Amino acid sequence: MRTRTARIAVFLSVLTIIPVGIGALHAQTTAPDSAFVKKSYAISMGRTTGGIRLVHMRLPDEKEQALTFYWRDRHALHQVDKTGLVGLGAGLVINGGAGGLDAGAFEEELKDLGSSISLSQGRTNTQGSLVAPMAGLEATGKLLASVLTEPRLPKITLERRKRFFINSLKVADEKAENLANKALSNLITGDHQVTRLNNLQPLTLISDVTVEDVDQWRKAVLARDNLTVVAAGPLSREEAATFVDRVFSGLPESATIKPAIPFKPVSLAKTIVIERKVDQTIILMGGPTEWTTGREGAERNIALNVLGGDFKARLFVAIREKLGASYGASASISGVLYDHGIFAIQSSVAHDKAVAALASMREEYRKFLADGVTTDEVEPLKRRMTAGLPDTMRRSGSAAGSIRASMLNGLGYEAADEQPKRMQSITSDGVNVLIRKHLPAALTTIIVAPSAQGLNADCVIASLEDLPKCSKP
Amino acid sequence: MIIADILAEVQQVTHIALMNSLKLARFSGLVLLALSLVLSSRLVAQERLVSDRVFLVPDPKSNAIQFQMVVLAGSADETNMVQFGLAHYLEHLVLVGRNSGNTDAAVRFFADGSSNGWTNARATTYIHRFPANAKDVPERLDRLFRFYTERLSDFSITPEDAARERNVVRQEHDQRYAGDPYSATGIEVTRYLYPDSPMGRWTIGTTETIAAFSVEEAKTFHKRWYRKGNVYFMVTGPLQDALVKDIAEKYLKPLDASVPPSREWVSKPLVVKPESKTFRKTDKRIANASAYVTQLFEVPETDALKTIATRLILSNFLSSKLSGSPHSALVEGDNPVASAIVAASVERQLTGILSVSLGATPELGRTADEQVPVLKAYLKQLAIKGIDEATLERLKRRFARDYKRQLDEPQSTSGRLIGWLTAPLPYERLADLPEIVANVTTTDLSAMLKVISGNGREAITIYEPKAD
Repeated sequence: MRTRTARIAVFLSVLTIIPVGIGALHAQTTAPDSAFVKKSYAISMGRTTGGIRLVHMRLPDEKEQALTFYWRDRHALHQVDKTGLVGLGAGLVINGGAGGLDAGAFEEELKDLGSSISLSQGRTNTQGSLVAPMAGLEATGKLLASVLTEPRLPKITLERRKRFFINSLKVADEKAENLANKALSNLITGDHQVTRLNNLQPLTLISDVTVEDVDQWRKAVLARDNLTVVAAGPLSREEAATFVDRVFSGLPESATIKPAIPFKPVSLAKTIVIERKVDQTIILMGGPTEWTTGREGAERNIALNVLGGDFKARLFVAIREKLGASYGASASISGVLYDHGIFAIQSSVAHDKAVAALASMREEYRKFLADGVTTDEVEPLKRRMTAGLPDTMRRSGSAAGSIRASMLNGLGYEAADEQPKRMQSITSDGVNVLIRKHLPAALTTIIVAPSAQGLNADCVIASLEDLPKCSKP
Repeated sequence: MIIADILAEVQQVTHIALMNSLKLARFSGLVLLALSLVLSSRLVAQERLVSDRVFLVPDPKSNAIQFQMVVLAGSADETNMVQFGLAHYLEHLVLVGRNSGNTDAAVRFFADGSSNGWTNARATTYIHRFPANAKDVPERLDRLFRFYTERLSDFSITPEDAARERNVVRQEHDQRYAGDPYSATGIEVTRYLYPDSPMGRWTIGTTETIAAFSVEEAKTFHKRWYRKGNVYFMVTGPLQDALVKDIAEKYLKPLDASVPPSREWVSKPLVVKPESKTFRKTDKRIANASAYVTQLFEVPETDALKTIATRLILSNFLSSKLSGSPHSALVEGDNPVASAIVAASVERQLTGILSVSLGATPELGRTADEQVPVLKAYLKQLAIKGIDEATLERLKRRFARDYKRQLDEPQSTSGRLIGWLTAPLPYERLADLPEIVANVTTTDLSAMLKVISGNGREAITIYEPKAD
C-alpha cells in the first residue's frame, strides 16, 4: 500500500479541484436507528487544472479505481445520410487498436493488467469507462489515452462491423417482440429523425459510413470542454484530478456541439394486429410519457414495479397466476429522446389465452390509472430500493456508474447522498399524482399473432411496411 | 472466464423467474472472475462451514442478505423420459406452493425482498434476498430455514396450481426456445453428442414431455433427491456465525440424515463413440453465417483437478487474442479466413470427458462450410506447435490475480461454491485449485492438445441466413 501511494505521488502535480458540495452534513443529522440508513458518500464536483469537469468519490478500501465519463453528443441526430454512425463509431475507436498495438494486442494488454475500458455512443451522449486495479492504473490510463487520441480505426474492422450490423438488422424483425416494439416506437416518433435512428433504413445509412466519418465524429465530439468524468476509488480528489488530466490531455480543447432537434411524440390509441406465424401471441400496449428517471424517477420506479416488476406485481398475478397464460409480464419506460419516453406493458402469451390476457392487461391498467398504488405496495419497495444503494456505492465501478447515471438523468452528482431522505419522503399519494400526470390515459395496442380473429383490431397488417396505413386517424 | 470453464455446462438452465433471472451463464461469469491462482501461499476462502451442509459467507459491509438452498439434483437425475423436465417443474411447484408457516407463494417470501430459482442438469437452487437492515433478520432467516426444511420432508400443491404451473412452464419453453433457430439445433447437437447420457437432454423438456408432467412423478423425484444429505444452504451477508448456526441446526438436526442414491451420470463412465455428423440450419432468423466444430473426447484422468486446471489454461488461451490463438491465426493477418471467432473453449463435462468447441463466422467471400476444415486444421496445428512457456506463464499470472480478486469479493463466493459443489467436486479440494493451476506445464498442455486433436465424437454445425 505504501509503495503504491509513493508511486502515485511521483506523478501528482498541481491539484486544483474545488469541492462544490459534500454530503458530510447529512450523516450528522441522520438518526442511526432509521430504517433508511443514511450514508454520506462525500461526493464532490469541480474542475481539474486542465478544465475537465470532475466528480469525485473516495473509496479508500477499494482495490480498483474507476472512471466513468461522458460527452454530450447529438451527432447521431444530425447524420441524415449516415445515421448508422451511431452504431459504429465508438465501437471502431475502442475495438480497433491504438498507437503501436493492434486490436488483439491492445485487448491482451488490458487482460494482463486486469483492467477494462469501454466506449459507447448514444442518441444524446457518448459514454465510456475505465476500471483498473491500482497496480495497473497508470498503464491502463495510458491505453485509454492512446485509444482516444490515436485510434487505429482499421478499415477491415469497420467493414466487418458494418456487415454484422446490417445482417443483424435484416433479421431483427423476425423476432416478434422486436417487431411489436419497433411498431409502437415508430408510431410514437412519427417522421422525426429519431425514427431513422430506430429503423436505420435504407441500409445505406450504415454501408455508406467510412473511416473518415468516424474520425471526423471522434475529433468533433471527444473534447475536454465537453467532457464530464466521475472518479470513484482509492485516489484522493487531487490524485484523481491529476490522473484525469493526464489521460484526457491529448483531446482537443473544445467540441463542436450540434443543436438539439425539437421532438413531439405522436399519440394514438388503436389496436393494431400484425398477423404472423409466431409461437406465442405478443401483446404490447404503450404510449408516450415524459416521466423521466430524474427528480420523479424513484416514484416512477415504484409505479413500474407495482404494475409489472417481479412476482408481486399486479400484471404477474393477473396474467401468470390467475390465467396461467404467460411466463411473465412487464411494465417499462424506455427513453426516446431528451425527456421523452415510451411507457409500455408487455406479455408473451399462449394463443388460446390471448383474448383473456388482453382483456386482463387492459383491466389492470385501467385500475392502475384509476386507483393508483397503495401504501402496502409502496413501503416495501422503498425499503428495497434504499437498501440496494449502499451495495452499489461501495464498489468503485458501480459507484462511478451510478453517479454518472444520476447526472445524465438530471439528478445531479450528489443524488446518492440525497436518495435515502428522498425515498423516505415518498408516499403512495405522491406516486398516484405522478401516475395520473405522466401515464397515458389511452394506450396503443400492438399484437403479433397468427390471426386477428377475436382481437377487435382497428387495423390488421402483415408487416411494418404497412404500418403507415394504421397511423391515419 | 473461469468457472464457466470449470463447470462446463452442456445443459440449458431454466428458471422460474420473469426477467432478471439468474442464468447459469451469468453466474458462471461471476464465478469465472473467482478462480485464478496463487503461486506461493494458500488463499483463505471467505466462506465458513458453520454447520453440517450450511455455509455462511460473511460480508460485513453489505446491506443485503442472501439465502440459497442448493439441491444436488437436476434434469440429469431424472429417469422418467415421458415426463422429462420434471426437476425444473418441481422447482416451480416448490416456489409457488404454500405450507403452514408461509401462506403465500414462496416467490413472494418478503415484500421488500426478491426470490428466484433455477434448475440445470446437475442442480436446483432456490434464492431469496432481503435488506440486511430489516428489523427482523433472525425471524426472516428462521422462516426461510423452516420453509425449506419442511420442503425437504414433503410438499403439497393444489391441482389447480399444479396445472397452471405446467402451462407456465410451457410458456417459458416457448418464450425462451421455441422461436430460436439456435436452440432447436442445439438440442439436436446435444442429443447426438451424448446419445446414451442424460447430459444429452435439455433441462426444460419438450412440449410433449411438459404436457405429460404429473404431481405424482414430481413427488417421486422429490422423495428421491430432496433430503438433508443432498442439499447445501448458503447464507451471505453481515451476519454472525452463531445466528446462522443456531437457526440452521434447529431445523436441520431433526431431519433424516440418510444419503441419497448414487447418481448414475456421475458413477457410470461415459463411453465416447467416435463418429461425425453435420447439422445444418438455414433460417431467416439467422443473421450471420457461422460454423462450429464441437467434439467430445475421453481423456485419461488421474485427478479431476489436474484436468480442470489444464483445460482452464487451454480454454483461456483459445478464447484469447494472443499470438497463436484462433483469433490471431484466422481473423488477423493479411489473408484472414474468418471475420470473428464465435466459440473457443475446452470443457470438462464429466469424469474423463472433455468437449472442445471452435466456431467462426466466415470472412467476406467465404462460406460457413469452408470454415470447417480450417477450424479442424487449426487444432491439429496447435497440437503440433503446442503453447510456449511465456504464454503459459502469462495465462497463469492472470488466473492467479483473478482468483485472488474473486476471493476478496464475498458476493461472488456462493456462485463459486455452487459451481464447484454441483460439478460435483469435493469441497475439501476447492482450495487446492490455485496451486494445481500454478503447476500446469507445457507438457500437460501438449498432452491435452494431443487428445483433442485426435478422433472424438464430432458435431459440425452450420448456420446460414435464409435468403429472401
